[in-house]
Amino acid sequence: MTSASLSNELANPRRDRLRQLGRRALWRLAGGVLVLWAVATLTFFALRLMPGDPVQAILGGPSGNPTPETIAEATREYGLDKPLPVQYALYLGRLVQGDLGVSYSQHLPVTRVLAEQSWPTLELTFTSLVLAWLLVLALTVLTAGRRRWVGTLASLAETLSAALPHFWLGILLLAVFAFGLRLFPPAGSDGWRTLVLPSFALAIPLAGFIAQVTRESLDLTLEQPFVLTARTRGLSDFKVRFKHALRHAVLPGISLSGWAIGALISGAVVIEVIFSRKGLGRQLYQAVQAQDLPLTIGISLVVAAGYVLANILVDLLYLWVDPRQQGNTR
Amino acid sequence: MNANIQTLGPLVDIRDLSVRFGQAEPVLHGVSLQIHRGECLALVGESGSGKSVTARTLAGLTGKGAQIQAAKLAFQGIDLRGLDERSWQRLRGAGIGFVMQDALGALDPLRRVGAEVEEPLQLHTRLGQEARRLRVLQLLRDVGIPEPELRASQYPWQLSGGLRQRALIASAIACNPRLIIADEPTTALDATVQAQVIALLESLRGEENALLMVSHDLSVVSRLADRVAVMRHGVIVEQGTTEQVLQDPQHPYTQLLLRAARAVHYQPERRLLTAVEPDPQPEGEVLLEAKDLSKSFVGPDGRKRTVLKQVSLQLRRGETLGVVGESGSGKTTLTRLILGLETADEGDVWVAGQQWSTLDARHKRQARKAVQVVFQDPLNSFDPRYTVQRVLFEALAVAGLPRRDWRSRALQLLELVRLDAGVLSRRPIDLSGGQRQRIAIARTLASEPQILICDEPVSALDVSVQAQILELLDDLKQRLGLACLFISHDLGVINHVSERVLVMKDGEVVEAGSVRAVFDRPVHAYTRALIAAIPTLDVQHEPTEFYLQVAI
Repeated sequence: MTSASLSNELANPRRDRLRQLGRRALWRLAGGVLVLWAVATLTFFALRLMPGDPVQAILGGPSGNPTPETIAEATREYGLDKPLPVQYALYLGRLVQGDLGVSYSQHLPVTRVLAEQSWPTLELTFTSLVLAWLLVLALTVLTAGRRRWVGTLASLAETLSAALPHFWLGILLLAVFAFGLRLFPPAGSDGWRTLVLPSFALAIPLAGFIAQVTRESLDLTLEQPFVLTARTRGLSDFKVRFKHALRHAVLPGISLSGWAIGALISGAVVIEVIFSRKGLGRQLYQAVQAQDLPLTIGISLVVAAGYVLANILVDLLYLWVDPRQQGNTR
Repeated sequence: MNANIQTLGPLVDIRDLSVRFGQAEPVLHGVSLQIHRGECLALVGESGSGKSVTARTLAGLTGKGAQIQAAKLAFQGIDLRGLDERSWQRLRGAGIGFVMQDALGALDPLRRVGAEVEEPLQLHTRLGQEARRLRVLQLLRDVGIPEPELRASQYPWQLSGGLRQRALIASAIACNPRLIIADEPTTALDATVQAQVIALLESLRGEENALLMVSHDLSVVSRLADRVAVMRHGVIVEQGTTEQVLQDPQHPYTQLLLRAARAVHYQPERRLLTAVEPDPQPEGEVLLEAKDLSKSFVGPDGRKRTVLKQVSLQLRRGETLGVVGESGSGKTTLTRLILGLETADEGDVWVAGQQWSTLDARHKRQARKAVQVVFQDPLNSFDPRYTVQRVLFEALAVAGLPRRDWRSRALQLLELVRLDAGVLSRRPIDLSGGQRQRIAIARTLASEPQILICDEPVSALDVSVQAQILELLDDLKQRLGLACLFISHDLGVINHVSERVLVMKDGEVVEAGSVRAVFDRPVHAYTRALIAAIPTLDVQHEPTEFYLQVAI
C-alpha cells in the first residue's frame, strides 16, 4: 500500500475511530430492540401457556371466589375475550406507547412499580460489578508474575471464591458482620450501609471468576516483548503493569462482564430475598407466583433491556480498549 | 576516533562477566568487552550463544533469577553491579537506548505510536506536553518516517514493518542515549527495508555515542561495525576490527560462520560483460503448471484488492524454481492456489496432470498428496505433545500406508533426512531448529509427493544450519526426482538452490528467467534494488544510493 493512499484513507484516525464506535453503537442498539421484542413475545406466550386462569388471578387468586358477572366484566375489561393474535397485537401496541398495563396483584400501573423497584436493583448490581472489578485489579496486578507461591496462593483464593454460592455467602456475611460484629444493618434498602453486605455477597464469587481469567491474561502479557521494551525505556515494574500490561489483561474480563451482569441480576433475586431489600428480583419472584402477567412482562422487559444495554456498553468498552478490533466492525 | 575521547576510557567496560540462571549451567562465562565512544561494536553469534543475554545485562534486564558476576561492569564510569532498581530506571531510556527485534511485538499494540515514542521523554525529561509532542514529531521525522503527524496517531499494527522498526528506533533514541543497543534490529524485515534500517542506524552514530549491534548474521553487521565480537556458547571466541575478522578469521568457529554465510548468501560479483548464453532448453516432465492466475480479496474496508495478477509458471521434474518477493508480493496466495486451498478468480493450476478446477473436494484431497509444503517455522506446525514418532505415523496414516509398515517407513524417512532413530521418542520442542526442520521435511515426504513447496524453509534458522538444510533439500530433489518450488525473500538462498527464478512484486511477476541471467543482468529496477540490498561480506563496498529513498 502506498503512503499516499493511506493518508487519504486515515486522514484523521482519532475522528475515524469515534465515528466507527458510533456506528457500531447504532447497530447494536437496533439489534437490542429486536431482542426486546423477542423477550416481550416470549414472555407473553409463555405466561398464556401456564396452567391457571388469568381472570382468577386478577380477581384475587384461588381464594377470591368471584361471581360469574364479575368474571365476565374482568374478562372484557382486560381484553381476555378476544382471540390470542388480537390480544398480542393490542399488547404490542400498548408496549410501544410505554403502557405496560396494571399489575393484577398490586392494582398499580406496572410502570410505577418498575420505577420504584428498579433503582435498588440497579444500585446493587452496579456496586457489585464495580466492587468485583476493584477486587480483581487489586488481586491480579499485585500478585501476577511474582514469586510462584504468591501466584499459587492468590489463584487458590480465586478458585475458592468463584465456587462460593451467593446465598451461602450472604448468610455467612449476615451472621458475621450484621449479627456478630454489628457493623452493618442486616436488612433494608436505605443508605449505603445496607448496600455493603449484599454487594460483597454478589461481588466476591464474581471477582474470583473474573480474576482467574485476568490473572492468566496478565501473566501472558507480562511475557510480551513490548513489556520488555517499556522496561528498557526506564519504566518501573509497577508502571509497566498499569500503563501497558493491564490494558491487555482486562480484555477477557471485559467480555465476561457482559455475561456477569446477567449472573448478577439472577443472583440479586436470591440476595434481595435474604437481605429483605426492595428490588426487581423479589418482585419478579412474587409476580410469577401470583400469575401477575403485566408485572412479569414488565420486569422481564426491564431486565432484558438492562442486559442488552450492558452488553452494548461492554462491547463498546472492549472496542475502545482494543482498537485492533475496529477493522472487523461494521 | 580521536585521542582525547579515548582518554576518557571506554563507554562500556565489561570484564569477566558470568551469568547463570538459578542452578543451571552458566549462560555466559568470562565475557570481556569494551565499547568506546563513537564506535559500533557488533556482537555476533547463533541462537543460544548468549549475545542477547550480554546485551540485556547491560540494560539491567537480564531476567528473573539471574546471578551476575563480573570483575568489572561499568557504563560511563558508573559501576553497574551494585545498581539498585531506581538508578537502573533512571539509566534505561536516558543513558542507554534499546532497540529490539520485531517491532510488531516490541511496540504496545494498544497504544498509539506517538505515545510509545513519547514515553521516555515523559520519564526522563521535564518537557511540557506540547514540547514533547513536537519532539516526538521531530524524532519521527529524524528516523525517516513520512507524515509524522499521521503516523504518531496510528497504532503500530497499522504501520508497515519498516516504519514500525523506525518508530521503535525513534523511541529508543528519544533522550539522546550515549549507548544504543540494537538486538537483531533487522531480522524480521524484508531485504530492501533491512538495508534502509541499517543505513538509519549508521546515521545515528555520533562522536559521543556508541552502538552495540547484536545479530546472528555476520554479513548484516559487517556493513556497520567497526569491531566484531563473535560469541559461541557464552564465550567470546574472537574479537577484532571488522576487517580482521572478516578477512583473516583466527578461530575455527568464525571461519565456519563465514564459510556458511558465503555459501548461503549470494555475493554479487562484478563481472566483465560476457556474451549472453541462451537459457538452456528445459527438459523433463511438467509436474506443476499455473496459467494466468489472478486472485483478489475484498478487504475489511469493502474495497477489492488484487493480490495476484496473471501469474504463470511451469515446474518440471528435478527442477527448483525460486520465487522471490517481499511481504505483500502475493507469494502466500500463490502457494494457496497451487495447493488448491483457494480458487483462482481467473486461470487454473495443473498438478501432475490434474486440473484443480475440475476436481471435487474428495479428489482434491487425493491430488493434494502429490504436493507437500515445508514451512518456515516447523515448531508451530507440530502438536507440541506429539513425539516425532507420532508426527511421522500420523503422516503415514494419512498417506494410506498399512499400520505394520509404519515403523520401517518412518525409519526410512529419518534416514532420508539424515537423522538417527533416536529422535523418534523425542518431542519437536526438545529438538534444535535444524532437526525440527528435518522432521518437517520427513513428514512431507511420507505421502511420497512429487512436488515440494518450500515456504521460507531456512529463514528461521542459524546460518550454519541453513546451509545444511539447503544441501539436504538439493540432495532429496536429486534422489527422489522431486520438483521444488522454493519461496523466499532472501535472494542469496534462492541463488543457492534454484535453476530458475520468478521475481514477484505486488502480485505480479516482474522478472523471470534462469538464475544466472536474472542475477547477472537484472532488467527490472526492483530486481536490481533487491540484489543491491543483499548484505555482503566485503569490507570495501560502494555506497548504495537507494538507501536514501523514502521509507517503504
